[in-house]
Amino acid sequence: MDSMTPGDAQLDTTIEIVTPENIAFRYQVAGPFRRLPAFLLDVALQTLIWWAGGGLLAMLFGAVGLAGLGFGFWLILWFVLSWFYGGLFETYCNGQTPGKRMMRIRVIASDGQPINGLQAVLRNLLRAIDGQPLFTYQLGLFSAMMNDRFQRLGDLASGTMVVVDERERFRGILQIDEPEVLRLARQIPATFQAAPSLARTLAAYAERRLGLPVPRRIEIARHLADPLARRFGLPADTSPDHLLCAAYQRTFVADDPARWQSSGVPLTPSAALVAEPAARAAGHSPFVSQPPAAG
Amino acid sequence: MQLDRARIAIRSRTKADVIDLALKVIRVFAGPLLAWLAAGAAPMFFLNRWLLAGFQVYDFVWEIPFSYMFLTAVLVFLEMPLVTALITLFLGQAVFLHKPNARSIARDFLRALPQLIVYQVLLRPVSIFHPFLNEVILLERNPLRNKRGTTTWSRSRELHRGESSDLVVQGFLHFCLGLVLFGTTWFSLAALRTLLLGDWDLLTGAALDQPMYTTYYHLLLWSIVGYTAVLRFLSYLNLRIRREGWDVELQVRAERARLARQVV
Repeated sequence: MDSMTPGDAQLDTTIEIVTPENIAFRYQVAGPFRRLPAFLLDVALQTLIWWAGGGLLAMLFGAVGLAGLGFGFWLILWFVLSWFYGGLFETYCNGQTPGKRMMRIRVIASDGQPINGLQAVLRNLLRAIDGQPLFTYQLGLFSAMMNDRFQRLGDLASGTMVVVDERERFRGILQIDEPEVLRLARQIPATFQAAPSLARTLAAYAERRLGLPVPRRIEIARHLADPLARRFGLPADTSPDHLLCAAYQRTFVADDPARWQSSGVPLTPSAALVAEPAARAAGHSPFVSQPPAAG
Repeated sequence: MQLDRARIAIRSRTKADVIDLALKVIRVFAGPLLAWLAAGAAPMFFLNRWLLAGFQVYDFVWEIPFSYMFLTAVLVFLEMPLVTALITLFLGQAVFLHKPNARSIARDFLRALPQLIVYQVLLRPVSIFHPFLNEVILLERNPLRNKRGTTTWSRSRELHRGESSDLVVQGFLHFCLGLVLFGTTWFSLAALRTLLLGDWDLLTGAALDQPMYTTYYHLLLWSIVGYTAVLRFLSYLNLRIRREGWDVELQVRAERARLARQVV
């Protein structure tokens, strides 16, 4: 059976854009289903404005006996709302309609720049095509499915895409002050220096361990703790959870944190995946949480 | 097998993100997914048509056979776990392998078949409350009975424990999504047939002739079942990542393999 090769693109909803200045930005693109609640909110708001505007126009024009003219303005209001609501908001509110703002998504240009008025209006006008056949949005859904940026036809024509407007929090180095961990950290040989892939793994474990029940922590940590304990000359009954925390402590705290900051290794990576040469993992199903082999 | 370099990025996701990712997975694996869906659904398609051959009773106002549609949907719902088992096995391999092996998928299916029959056919009313039971049976390979260790049911109970409210919301969300997809696609299909055949009397049901129900309706239901199978698989991965730190476990196991290689 062939393993995954580093050349195979990973399936994810994130994309990377490299600016002409050679700066890479990572965006999470919003697919059709992430955009759906924002769209429904906007439709609800448009309807509300239309009806409220209708009431206001009826009062104003009805009072002076020009109800017919008021009805005409009401139809104009409907025309403006249905064709230019999205375009106007996205132009003047940095790619966001009220619905998109509430759902924390934003329209940006395909090169990562903010969108301009022409792009905003064009993508919203072309919604009429995306809605085909008969407002079922099958065409838009099919178009979004066929490209990595989930762009509907309006997005493709105007060179835009919708991204999730959430910033990742950088949590820095974790403070582990459990006495057993600190004691173990002192027992780790001074010559220990974690390779980048091991450092990433230790950081990922340290970040997630508190959200896991203790037996599960031990089950996960044992895979790595057993060979590390042998390497460090520690007793076999050393707590696997504490040992990995101690290794983390030695790597990121006792060691020079600045070295890791500058090396690009995320100290608490939420989605860091390692692209190292293939490793054959004992032929077990990766879905099975089996205990590590002894020895 | 490179555990920390999966084809699908292993990270915790929101429900909306999972639903969107399913679209991408379907696009990338469209051919094999369609083939495995066809392999599972084709026998059921003919079985259902045969079972319901005498039920095409039309509603007298709309000329729509609601009873036929309802019974077809019930049958599809009951057959869903068996039909989607092959898709689940394929995706399980596709996450980690460049070329999933058809022979090993068929072998795994046959190995899991007794448990699928027990839990997803005989005990279906009970297992309905364990939405990821299929994944547990097919991918985690626990025994049906084990006096001391983990069994399929105990493992499934452990996985679903404390998640009932979240899974109810998720199940409702997936049901609504399936309904919307079905509604829009069905309406598009009906409209397309109406336009192509030049019959504009869409609302009276005059254009909705028999093949719409006896063939297209079945095919559409099975297509949506295929989509929900992908969605269910990704939701299962997400549950394991969130509850059990499966992403970290894969990373730790990959690192262990690297250390072992260094020693050798």
